[in-house]
Amino acid sequence: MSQEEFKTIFDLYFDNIRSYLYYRCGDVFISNDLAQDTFMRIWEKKMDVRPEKDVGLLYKIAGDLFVSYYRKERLWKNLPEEIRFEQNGASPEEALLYKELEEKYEKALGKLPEKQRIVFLMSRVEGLTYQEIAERLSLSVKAIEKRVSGALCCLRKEIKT
Amino acid sequence: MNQEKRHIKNQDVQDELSNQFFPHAKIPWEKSKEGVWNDLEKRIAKEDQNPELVRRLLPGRQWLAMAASLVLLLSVSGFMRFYSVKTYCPEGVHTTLKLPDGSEVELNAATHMKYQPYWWFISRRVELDGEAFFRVEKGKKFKVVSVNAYTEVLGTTFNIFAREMDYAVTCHTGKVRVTDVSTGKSVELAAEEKSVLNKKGGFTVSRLSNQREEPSWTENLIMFGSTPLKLVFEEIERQFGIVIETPAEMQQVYSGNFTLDQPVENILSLLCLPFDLEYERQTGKKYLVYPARE
Repeated sequence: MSQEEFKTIFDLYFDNIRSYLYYRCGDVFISNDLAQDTFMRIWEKKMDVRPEKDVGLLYKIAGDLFVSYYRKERLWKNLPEEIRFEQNGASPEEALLYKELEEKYEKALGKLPEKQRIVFLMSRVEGLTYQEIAERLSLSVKAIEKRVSGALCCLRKEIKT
Repeated sequence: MNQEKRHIKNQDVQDELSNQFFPHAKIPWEKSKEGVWNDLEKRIAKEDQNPELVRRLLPGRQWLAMAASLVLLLSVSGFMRFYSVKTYCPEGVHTTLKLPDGSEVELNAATHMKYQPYWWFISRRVELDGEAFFRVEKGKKFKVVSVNAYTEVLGTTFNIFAREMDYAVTCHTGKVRVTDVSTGKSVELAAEEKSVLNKKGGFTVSRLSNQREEPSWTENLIMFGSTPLKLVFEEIERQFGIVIETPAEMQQVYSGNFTLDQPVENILSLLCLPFDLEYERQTGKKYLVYPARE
């Protein structure tokens, strides 16, 4: 794989991978580092990653790196308490409106089971279709549907209170 | 009903809120994508500068190693397969030989034998040209191959006579199977049975008249029962390592025994007498047998 090809892969998927890791750990620094390591690994191993077809591989490497990092650092106990977001592209009024909502969501997302949270955020924040998510995480579309509806259900309960 | 409807409406409000909220939600990254790419580029460049830090198994070298080990394996097994020991027992002598598994072979005079000692535990196979008596240890199939036929056994004692066109097997204990190479016909011999390969490619099986544990020649005794005179002279030639010139026409058959610890002249005179033959010693080991002149 040449550096140009590597750059293409990076441009296409770096944001997705970094976000995916963020949904799992809720820590911008760790997810940034691990996403960088994911691409570094692909380069070092001279893996032949084709766009579209091998996206699942990227997610798999990122997930494995995340698991081994957490195992090494013994961080299982402090799972994310909240998933922080900032509002972008919203008008000042809207931003004000969402401020309260944001805090609620951040806490509620932190309480979601990891599997539901990942799938839900991939769908809502990145706007990926269920089909795309299923391919990237090597899951069935049915499983994605189930997790998203589970997440919605949990969020409803949390936001209401 | 009403309550349910309100509940649904409530859900819709929540979902709408989330639909409005999430498209605007951005993760507060510390570093931009471009910044990360610059870092990555630096790391890649560094790696390319110190390529010796990266342990690469060159595919070519891998193939080379595989090929080398394959060649080694082949040559070792090839050596084991094809390395053979040839034994020749000269005329006038009997030899006893031990095979790798403890089986014993007694070679009669003027006999060639060949076997593969390093391949022995995979296939017990002996090539024989001449006459030999086998005491085979129990085990896998033991095969004795000659030009005309081969004999297979598991563990017995038996005698094989394989000279030129003649092939005869005598089974002393156990069971053996004899197969003709050209026709593929085979015959199974029980103890005390003898089979002779006849000219038509089949086997003539007969029972031994006298029960002996071992063939007579291993005890320095040669026995002939209705044997063509030509073959009798040939056997004496081999046992004493001499050359006997005989008349071309000899149709008689002979029955009788000789011990081998006497001078060859005694035997020749005993043999010649009933057939009206005379013999004469020529130079060295050469004897001439001719019809007696009136």
